[in-house]
Amino acid sequence: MKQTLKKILYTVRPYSLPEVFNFKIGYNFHTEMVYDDAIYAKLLSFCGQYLQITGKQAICTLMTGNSPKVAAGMKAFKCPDQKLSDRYHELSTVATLGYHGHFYLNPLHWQRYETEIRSNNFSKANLKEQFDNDLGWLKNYGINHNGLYAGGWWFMNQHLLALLIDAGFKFDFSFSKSVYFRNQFSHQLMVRNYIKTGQNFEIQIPGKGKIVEIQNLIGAPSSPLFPDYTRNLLKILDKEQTNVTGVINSHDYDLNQANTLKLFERFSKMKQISFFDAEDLLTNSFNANNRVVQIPATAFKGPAMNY
Amino acid sequence: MDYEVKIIDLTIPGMGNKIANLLNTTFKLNMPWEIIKANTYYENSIVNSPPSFYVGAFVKDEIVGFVAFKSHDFLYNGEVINCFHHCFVATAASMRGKRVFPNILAFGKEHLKKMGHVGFVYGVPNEHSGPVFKKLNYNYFGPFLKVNVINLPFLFDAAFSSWNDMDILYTDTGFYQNDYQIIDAKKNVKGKDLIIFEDLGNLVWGKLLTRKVSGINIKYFSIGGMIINKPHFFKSTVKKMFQEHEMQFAQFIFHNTSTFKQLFRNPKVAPYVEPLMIDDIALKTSEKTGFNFMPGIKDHF
Repeated sequence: MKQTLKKILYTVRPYSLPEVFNFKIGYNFHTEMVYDDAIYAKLLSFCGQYLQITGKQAICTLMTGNSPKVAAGMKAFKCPDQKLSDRYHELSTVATLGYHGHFYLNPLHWQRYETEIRSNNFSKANLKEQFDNDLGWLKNYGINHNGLYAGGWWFMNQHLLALLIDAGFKFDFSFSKSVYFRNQFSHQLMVRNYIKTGQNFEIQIPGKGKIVEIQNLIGAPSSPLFPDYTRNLLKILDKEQTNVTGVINSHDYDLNQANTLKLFERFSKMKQISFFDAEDLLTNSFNANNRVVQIPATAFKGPAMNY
Repeated sequence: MDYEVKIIDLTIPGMGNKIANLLNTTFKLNMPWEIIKANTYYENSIVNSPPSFYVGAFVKDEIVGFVAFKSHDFLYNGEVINCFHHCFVATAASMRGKRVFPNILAFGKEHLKKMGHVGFVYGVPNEHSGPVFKKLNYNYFGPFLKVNVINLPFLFDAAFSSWNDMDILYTDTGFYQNDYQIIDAKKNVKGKDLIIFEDLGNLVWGKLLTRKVSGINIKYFSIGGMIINKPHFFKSTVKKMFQEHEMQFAQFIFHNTSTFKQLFRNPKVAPYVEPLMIDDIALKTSEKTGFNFMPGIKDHF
């Protein structure tokens, strides 16, 4: 019934994307449940078909076997680290891998909401420890993160950016104008620096280096109706930013394969839409002419202490 | 001074019961030692901060004064700052007027200085202990504010500020209570009475209470703390909370320097909640310091 009403509505008001906008679109998976045979099969199949439709590879940012959440899943699905690693290597034949970090105040209590690090409730010490352990896992299993990162629970702040830059990451997909895909640090940074939807920007930390931000535009569609997607996209577009670059995101476990492939087939027929992948990011002009945002040293200060 | 002030050795057989007896006699309560300890003794730091400790005044083996120093790991821009809350203050009636409380506080503060790396010691004093803190030159950071969100359509909406897309609920120059640590400790005391509600990255926790008004039982949710990552969804988070848990209102109390006050239209000074008073140990607080504190940091919550 709802779908029928929507179809009627969209006949009257089709929510077309204005021709003035040009889009460069990529795909970023928050890849968290590859230990599950069914989810992995679907992900592998999707990435292959996505490559056929767009001519580009999806970006799969991965959680490591070091994550307590993933480790619990691996145990339940009888998937040892080596098997998970083998699947990640196989996935890298049809997608480009990156790193997807979820952090906890206490990893032992990972099932409790209150331990999930999403914004201000974090400690630099355990953030760094878990970050280093994750990268150690990737290195141990010969998995290249390709300098690509996406934040779990959309957690991002100056300290995590510094860790990413120190570890050689070049591109991050943790910022968004969508209300669902940001934390308050990234929202503040974008508001204060007048960053518009789909505008790439470069974050510089003096004395450390830089990282380029490619925004999340919107989530992958759960609906088969194309205007459902464009209606939501139109909410965040800015008339002053007509060149829109960004990724569409989903988890591996909540991917609606049929609807998402249908969306990209539609996109592939639209003149105003082109696609990019990690190779484009790492080799061409995505690094040039980006708005530069500097994070000052004061942003790293703790409270004034007497010792 | 006809009494000795020292750290209480909890390994001494029967010491817990002696403390409980002093507190129960002073406040006309009937709390077992296990509950007193569970409310005041935190030893669940994620960075190995020292646990809580107790200071007592003794006449021979008799305990005549008591203060708990409850260990908290507060968070400030990613730094974990270990601070202490002095609470459960009691002086035997026979010892009143002998400066037992200020002497215990002074002893406790010296002990904290020796421990090193302790940020501050704080209290939320009542009308009896407040004047003592003032004499001891504690910094007064002002009152807590209160908003009761009523579970009725028009009154519900009136409680919240309108949230625009350019609004931001973020600071990296203020203290945050460590809700993980407090919930972890409270779980040992409150058990199933503790409610932790999560919605789209917003977390609100507290306890369901009942108040009798004109013979009618009013159920309300007393909020101990919250982690708000999606302020634009905050109102709908509270609405969902009402749908999931039967209650007539939800009571939000937060310090006047907290960013949380942005979320509400008209927060008022909480009339029965004591102010925040702080004595710096290794930290230098200033009038600009912000405290995103809610009742979860108090001993009696």
